[in-house]
Amino acid sequence: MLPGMPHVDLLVGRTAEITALTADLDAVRGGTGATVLLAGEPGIGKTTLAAALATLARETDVPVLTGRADPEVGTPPLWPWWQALHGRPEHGVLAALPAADGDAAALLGHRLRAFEAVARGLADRPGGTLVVLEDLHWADEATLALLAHLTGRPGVLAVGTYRSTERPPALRSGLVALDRAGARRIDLTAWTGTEVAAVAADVHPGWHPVLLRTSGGVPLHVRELAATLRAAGVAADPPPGPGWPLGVPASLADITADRLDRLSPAARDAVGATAIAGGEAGCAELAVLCDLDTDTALAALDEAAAAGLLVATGPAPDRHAFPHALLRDAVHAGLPAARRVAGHRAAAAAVASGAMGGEAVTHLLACATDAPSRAAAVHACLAAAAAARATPDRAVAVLDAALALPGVPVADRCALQLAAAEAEFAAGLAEAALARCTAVADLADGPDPADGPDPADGTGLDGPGRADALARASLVVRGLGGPVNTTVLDLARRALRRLAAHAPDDDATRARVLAQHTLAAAEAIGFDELGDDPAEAFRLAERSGDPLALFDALRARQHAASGPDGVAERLDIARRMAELPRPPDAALWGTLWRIDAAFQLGRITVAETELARLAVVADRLGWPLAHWHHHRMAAAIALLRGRLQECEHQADVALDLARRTEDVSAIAIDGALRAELRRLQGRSPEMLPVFAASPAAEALPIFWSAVGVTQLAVGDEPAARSRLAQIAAVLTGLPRDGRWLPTVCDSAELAAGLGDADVGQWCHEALTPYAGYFVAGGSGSVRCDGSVSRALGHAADAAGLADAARRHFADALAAEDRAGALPYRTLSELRLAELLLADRSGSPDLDTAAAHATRAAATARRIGMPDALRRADAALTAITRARSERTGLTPREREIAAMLAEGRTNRDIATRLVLSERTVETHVANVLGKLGLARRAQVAGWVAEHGPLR
Amino acid sequence: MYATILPTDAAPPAAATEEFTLRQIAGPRDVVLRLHDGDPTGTDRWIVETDSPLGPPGAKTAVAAVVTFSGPMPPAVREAADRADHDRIGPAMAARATSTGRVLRLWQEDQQRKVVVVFAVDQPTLHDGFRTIEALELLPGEDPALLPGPDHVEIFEVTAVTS
Repeated sequence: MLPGMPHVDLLVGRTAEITALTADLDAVRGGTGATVLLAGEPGIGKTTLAAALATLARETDVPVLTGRADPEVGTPPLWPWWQALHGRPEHGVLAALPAADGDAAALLGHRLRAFEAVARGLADRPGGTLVVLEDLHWADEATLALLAHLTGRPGVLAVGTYRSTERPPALRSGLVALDRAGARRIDLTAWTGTEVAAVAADVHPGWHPVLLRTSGGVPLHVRELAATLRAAGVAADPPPGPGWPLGVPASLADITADRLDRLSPAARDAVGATAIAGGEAGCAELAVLCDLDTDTALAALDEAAAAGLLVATGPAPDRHAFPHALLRDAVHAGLPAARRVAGHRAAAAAVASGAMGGEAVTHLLACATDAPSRAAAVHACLAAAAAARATPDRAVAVLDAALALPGVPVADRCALQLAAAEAEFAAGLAEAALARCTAVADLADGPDPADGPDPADGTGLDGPGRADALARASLVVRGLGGPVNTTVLDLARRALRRLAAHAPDDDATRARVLAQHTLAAAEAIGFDELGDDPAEAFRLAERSGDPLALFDALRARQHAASGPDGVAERLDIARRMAELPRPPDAALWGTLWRIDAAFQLGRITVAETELARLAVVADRLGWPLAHWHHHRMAAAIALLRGRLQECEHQADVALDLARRTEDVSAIAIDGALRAELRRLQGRSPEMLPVFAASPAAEALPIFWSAVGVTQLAVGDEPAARSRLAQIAAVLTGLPRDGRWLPTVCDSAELAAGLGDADVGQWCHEALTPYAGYFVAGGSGSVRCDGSVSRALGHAADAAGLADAARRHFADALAAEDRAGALPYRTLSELRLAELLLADRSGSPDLDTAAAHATRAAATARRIGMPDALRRADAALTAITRARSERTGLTPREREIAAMLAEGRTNRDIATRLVLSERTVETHVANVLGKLGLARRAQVAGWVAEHGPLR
Repeated sequence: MYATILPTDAAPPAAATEEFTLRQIAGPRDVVLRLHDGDPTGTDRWIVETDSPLGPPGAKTAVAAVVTFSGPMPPAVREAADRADHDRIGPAMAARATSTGRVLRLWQEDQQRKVVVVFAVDQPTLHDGFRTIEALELLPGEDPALLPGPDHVEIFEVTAVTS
């Protein structure tokens, strides 16, 4: 809504125009006169603008006279003026004009006098008059002549509207006269994205570019399209693709048909052929589709351009296109069906022969009216989708177009659905891909025909064909965690059943499906249910020698070896995976698995080398999933190195990509990474709502221990204790899969924080064989939490094994120092300092404790670990106190010793402490004696070596 | 067989079959490496996993390198290191038998750490040997991720040998 103009809220994007017209209205009220012509294509908003001005005029008591030209042949001359002047004295003047069959010069004289009478009648009214004449492209010469005559008369604002796309002779000459008389013209332009977003604010933002592109920014079309979306009930949903899916609104179809009717037959053909050609055409297309020679084609294109139906696109002079997609669709939809089919058939042949540019597949789809033409269209679509692998959304659109054809055989439908599913999975749309796979399985897994191909059963698939379709359907969605695996598992089971019956010798396919079955079962049912399937899948794959079979079998084997004891095997599996020639993501998985293993081995430099390789692999693949892996791993390594800001940035990028993959476990993985980041940053409270909103993760013990550690960090001991009880109940029975090590290590820390000796003892025994490893998942690791020895230290601490705890923390400190895992080195060093300080053996090693606490404090301050810094400062204060106590100095002696260290004289000290100098001398002698020093000057050196005394 | 590596002023923990007095060349450590038939017990006791005399019998070895893998050494890393010792480094050292006198491989179970002591005729020979090992190509199936290398290497002068 414009400020101060409450009734013109429909004037989106017309602020400048209504402001100028309002100024004209004000000027007219002041006694000047003006004529303004509003020009633009149909639907651009001329009438809306004129109506808004009329409303403003009436509100300020300016009379408004309105008239409208009519295209009917029998309409009398000056018809718009007859309407405008109805009920006024000037109406009679026009009515008195003689008929047109008299002497021409006399008639012009009469007309001039009548025009002058009208002009005088309208002019000079106090407060002014507004005259609005619409649709002047249909007006007669006299109407426009009277308007020109009136132009500039004091007190009259005349506003005329006309379509810039139509220029009949009367309008052409009338515009010349109006221009000469001083009329001003406002060309209304199309809306931009801003205006479209404003009028379609209630429509999902994803539609806004579609609306703009389809309508060309013509306001009427934008509003019509938005209304169509609302009526179809899809306005709140994102668009399914880049194109407009709901046909041409009736209003536009009518307008377009009317505009076409006004063209010559050749120009009409040219416009139709341009629509068939896909929206852009030149002489080549018109030769093929309308049989027009070059000169005729150029003239036809010029005429269509003059009518605003086409615009020249250049640089070649003959190239013309529709100004917007909706107009093309309207023209195309308005063509007779026979003409459309014949046109597309000719176009398909011309594209195939090279006589015309463009894609044959669109034309083949548009002319698929019988079985052979449908088969040709389907095969063209499959080929086009394969060629468009780099742009999956385009591939899916082409395949869906083929699926929309009626009467496509089931075998072809399966092939199209599977190709679309593969494209959607590559685009990160796992749910959509899985829905298609299920549809294929339902088609292919119907009742068996008696034997061989049996078109009568409706499938058109024989036994091996069914097995192949089911196998392909089961293999599309892979490498994801979460609930999708239940469906994948079902698909794999059905495929294995069919393969056993119809393709028992197809080792490669059986290996692939068995591997997929293994992975899905591990996710959907549990790690312990794998049995011999991974080994069997690998045996079959090796026997087949098929890279794809080996790819899937290696994935299954990797998963089976994901426990902490399988790290060396996983490195070997990863190497073999990375060396496979195909599929294209083999290198991705091989690299990821090497990072997982490098984490567990504490070889961060190896992980960093692999990360660089991962970046190259992700760029080469271009998949959102691959980029997600790269950025999440970059975040994990930054976290381990203590580059916390970089970790946050990489995690943000990864999260954006995760949302595009639709993998729910990807979102959970972000939560797991961020929980640790926030813990190190002292911001654990931020994670509690995230955990509370993760009901799917509640089934996982790794989640319980992670949440417990966070609850401990925020000081919610009862909640942490509840989590510890939850995990203690299952701890001894946890499968030794890829999650075992992080789960047990977090449990150890939880036990230490809550003083649970039993859990601590169990964790200590369970983790001891893995003391040399780092804490990382064995399959799809999220992060690396430093040395297992630190978790062992916590476990020993909980179990009351003080010496062992100190040794483990010292081992952890050494390992994390070697690896450059700064946050974890800080935590180990800090805990070691605290344990040394708490040593009750009689003589705690305060110097070593101080050295550790000092370095921990410096590192914590540098990389931003405020909780660790507070603990380190507290440890240093406690160490200072312990040192002071160890000297045997009384509080007064410590006070005096501190002043001695500052170089103060006895007199100065006596003055400050209000003591006699003799008393101070006695205290100084005691201090030197207790510290074993000979001279007072040595006190400063003692303090420098042992720390402050106060 | 067992071994102990203790400061020279520490009392021998048990009867030794052989004794090597070592003085650190670039540092202050003076230690005695003893080999024992019986278990000497104690925290500084090592198990001798392999004892490979390489040079000619009675050859004088003037220097020793003590190569330490601090630990805790992960099982997979230890396995890879053992394989490297046995299949790649050992044969390379054997090929230099005229200049390398003896190699002891020691393991400490509770700390999961490993020490390799290499005796040689002189320092240049020792360094040549290290360079040779570093230049060896990995064998098929060996993975650099499992071979992190030692945490430190100390060179000693062999000042006395008793057997």
